[in-house]
Amino acid sequence: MNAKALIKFFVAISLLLALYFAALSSMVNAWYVDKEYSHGFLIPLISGYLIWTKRAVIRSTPILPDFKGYFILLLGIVLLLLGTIAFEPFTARISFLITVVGLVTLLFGRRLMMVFLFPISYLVFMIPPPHIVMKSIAVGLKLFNARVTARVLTLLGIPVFQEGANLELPNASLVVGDFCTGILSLIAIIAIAVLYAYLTQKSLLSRATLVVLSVPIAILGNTVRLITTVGLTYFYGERVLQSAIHEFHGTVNFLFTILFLALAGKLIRRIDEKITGVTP
Amino acid sequence: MRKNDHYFILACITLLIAGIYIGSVSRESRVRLAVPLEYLPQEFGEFKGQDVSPLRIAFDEPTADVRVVRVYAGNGGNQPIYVFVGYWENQNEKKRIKSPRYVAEGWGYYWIKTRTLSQGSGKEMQVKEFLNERGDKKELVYYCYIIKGKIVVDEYRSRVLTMLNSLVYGKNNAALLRVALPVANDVSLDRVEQYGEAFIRDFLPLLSSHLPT
Repeated sequence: MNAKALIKFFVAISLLLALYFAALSSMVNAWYVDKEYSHGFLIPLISGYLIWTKRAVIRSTPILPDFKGYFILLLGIVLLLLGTIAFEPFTARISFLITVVGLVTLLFGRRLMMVFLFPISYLVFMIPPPHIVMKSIAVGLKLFNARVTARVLTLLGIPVFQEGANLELPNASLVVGDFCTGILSLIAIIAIAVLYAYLTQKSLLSRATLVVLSVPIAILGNTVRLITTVGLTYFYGERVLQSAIHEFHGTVNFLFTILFLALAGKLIRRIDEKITGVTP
Repeated sequence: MRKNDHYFILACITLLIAGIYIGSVSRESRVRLAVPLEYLPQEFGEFKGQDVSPLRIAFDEPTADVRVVRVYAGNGGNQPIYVFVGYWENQNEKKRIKSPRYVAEGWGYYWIKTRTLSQGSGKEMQVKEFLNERGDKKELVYYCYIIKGKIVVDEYRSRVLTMLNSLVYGKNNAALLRVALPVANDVSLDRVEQYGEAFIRDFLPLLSSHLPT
């Protein structure tokens, strides 16, 4: 890729960023204001790093502009129009990725686009999902978590009554709130799983398996956290909920979830190598 | 000029035109009510109501341009009906209808269904229904959206309809009706449902006449 092509690309990207200024600036504001989306700051950096690791391949891939990219570019712009007019920020933000794909294909061709495909696709994790989707998942997770927590604690001999999202102990009443569902960390864990799978797994099947497994691992990790919290509240009272234990429990739990994810990744890779007979 | 130069110029022109066009069409257009909501009858049929604070009904949508919060009761008198009506003259990222499904902290529900209510002379209307619970408190909740004279119960459909109205008419006004009936332990759910549905059958046409079509 020569300097002239790069300059043209940067001019086009500048116009693109100007077009998407409203959509992207509100997204960055969401990262700043909403704790659950703060991982958004890291995603472009990771994407940039992934592109940087491919610099040798990028330099050696020929530039073959492809007019089909123009239709992808137009699709992205139509989605931006729809998202802007209908005040659907998610649609407007997703269209940014499509427009970038279209621009790269148009100016540099499909072969180079395939090199950039994963780093650009990874940017999807910086986009806050629609509120309606997040809330739907949280409502379902709340009840699931409450039920499983109550059942496990009952099996362990702790008297707990569950009604909806409420857990009644003899000495305390607890509510499984939206924050307790783990929905906040689920997206971050999936983003980590996708990156980890991409970097460590060789086959598409093993990558997909690891990403799919990350969801039950994340949910299980959060359920363990709830069980521990409610159990500790039974033994030590409601002061547990105001203590540092509850404050940092989530962080510790998140780290353990990442550890389980890493172990799952190693296991999947071993199985994949045995099946394919390929070892590094 | 080489192909790449042509495509580069084409891309730049397209992005510039898109920016100018999108900037010019993304203007909010407010649509006022046909009749102010405060003129919604406080008495109709067997029901009598009075305005109350949103705190009484544990539900509010403060982003609505106009809202009416009332408690109604029928001739029986023992079953209050908490009514929220919100109207948005326009919507944007900061100011838009949120579904009553996404209940307050501590509340939850196991089921949600679509109910079809007959209005007589072959007409029907649909509302969404769920039983909202918190501890031993229960309330039967009905809700629907009214967009350009149409009653819509599905959240995704309401979004699509809002998007289409924005594109075609340049407007995205909408209304939300939420009706909640507390369910006491000694009262059957069927009875509360019958009562709630009778109220909605009478109230919804009255509300629709206040909204712009």
